Amino acid sequence: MNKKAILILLILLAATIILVLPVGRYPVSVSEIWRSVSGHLSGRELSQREMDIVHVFLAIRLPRILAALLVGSALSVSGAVYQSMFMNPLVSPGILGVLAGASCGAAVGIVAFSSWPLTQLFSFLGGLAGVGLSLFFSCLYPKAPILALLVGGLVSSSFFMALTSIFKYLADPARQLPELVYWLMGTLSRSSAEQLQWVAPLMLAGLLFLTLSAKTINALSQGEDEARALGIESGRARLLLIGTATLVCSLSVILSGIIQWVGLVIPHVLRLLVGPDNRTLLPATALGGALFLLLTDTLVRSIWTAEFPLGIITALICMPLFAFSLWHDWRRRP
Amino acid sequence: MIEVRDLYFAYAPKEPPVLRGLSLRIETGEVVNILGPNGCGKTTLLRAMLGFLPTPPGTVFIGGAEIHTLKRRDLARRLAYVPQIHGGVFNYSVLEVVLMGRTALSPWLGFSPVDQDRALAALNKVRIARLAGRPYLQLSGGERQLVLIARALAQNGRFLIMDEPVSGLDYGNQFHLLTVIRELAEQGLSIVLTTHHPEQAVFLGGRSLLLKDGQLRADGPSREVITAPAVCALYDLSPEMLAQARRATF
Repeated sequence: MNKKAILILLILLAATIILVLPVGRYPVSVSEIWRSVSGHLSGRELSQREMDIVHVFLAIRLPRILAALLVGSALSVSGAVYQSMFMNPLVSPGILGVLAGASCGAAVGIVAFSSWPLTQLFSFLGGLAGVGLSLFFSCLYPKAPILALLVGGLVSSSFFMALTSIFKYLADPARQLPELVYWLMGTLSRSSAEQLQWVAPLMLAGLLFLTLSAKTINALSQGEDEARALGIESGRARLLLIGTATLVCSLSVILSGIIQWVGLVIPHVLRLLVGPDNRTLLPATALGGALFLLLTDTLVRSIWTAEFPLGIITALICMPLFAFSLWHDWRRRP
Repeated sequence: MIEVRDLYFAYAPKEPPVLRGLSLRIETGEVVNILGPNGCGKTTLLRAMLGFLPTPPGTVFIGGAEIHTLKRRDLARRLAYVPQIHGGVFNYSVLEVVLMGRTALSPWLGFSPVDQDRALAALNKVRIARLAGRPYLQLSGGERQLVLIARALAQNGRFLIMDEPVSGLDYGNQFHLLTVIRELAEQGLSIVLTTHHPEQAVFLGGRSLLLKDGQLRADGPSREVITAPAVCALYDLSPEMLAQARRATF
């Protein structure tokens, strides 16, 4: 494990969190936040401005920052895990149809029920259905389960995208369609403290489990027979790890909608920087993904007066990053 | 001890069986060469002994226990597998690859200093400690094979099971690797390997199994089993062709 790389990323992330705290519509400095929040916690009588600051910080800014960190980590770590599981550095959470399934679920929630909590629940169930369909296809062709699962993911993605299009077509263009489209673009503007309260513990548990399984993931990334010869019940371990990665990104969809690319590019770039050993790579992608999404989210909520969809910015930034990492990787190959 | 009892095995129900009534017993400390023409079932036999195949119950035993009743972790502590030379997708460092051999002994968290020591000792044993920090995918075929052997040694199993360990290597590397394997055997490790070259089996000594059409044609000390008539019969060669081939040495 490369402790230096982890430490550098940890310091960078901590510094970035402090730097972005004062950024936003409501002008406030770090020291003011510190004074108000510590005063609030110690039960001191607060002035009106201090009460406003506490409200902005605890109800709006902190949840949003935490959501950015969690979603970034979840997408990146599950991306890294999928890449090792399928022995293919070019797959991402999208590959199993998780994001497509989740977006379809969201469409059901928005169009059929017009209810925000139901939308979240359906998107989560949709993510699970997306994986379920991929796994179903892999069972149809047991001879090459890994390949069949990838093809199953493709089928599952396009199936759920088609379903989503039906809902877009049926949606009320004045009210529902914008909301649906906005969700599909990916945004953190809806993440709230209540959402975090029930989503965050599960996500953290999943991320911790994946990170602690790094050695098993390493062995599984060498192929079926070798993993078995190294003492791993490969089928069961693979299922458990893929399942956990899927759970973690389905939960991220509840917080942020569909954010593509992060799960592909962040692990890919960090693998170039810290190497493929998952004992270092997984904590590094967790921190790197969190850092990346925090920076991009701060960008979208501060540059324009109107909120800009996060998913668009991540795609715009990730595309050249990905091209560069591919080129760099190709050049380094023996 | 590895024991195979009257093993019939086909990859699919309607396909003809690859192994047809195979029985054998390998004691600890033995060196066993498995020879035979392409498609005779050498690799299938190795995979059956490693528990990779759904063999019928009561046909393969490891240390007296039916192979499918053993957990992978326990199996990995007895049998270590050296696959044929392969690429892999992720460019792990040599030390990281060798450390993977310790996964079964401590599946969670990081590796202990003991794990690190064992990995380095394994690298030393095959004399490639200098490669520890190098990226695995940038090594030559012979070096990669040594790394995989080191990983198997780090796993600490009694048996080293190798699938054509020297195929794909150049002439010099073949003999370098065979020498390493012979040294390991002399240190008391049990070695089971498949090979395409009868002379390499003679070089390694020990015992040879001649396999054809999924059946055992001969089983005994390499020097006794590997004779000109036996090799002719095994590979469908006429005595003249074999004589010609053997004359073409330098």
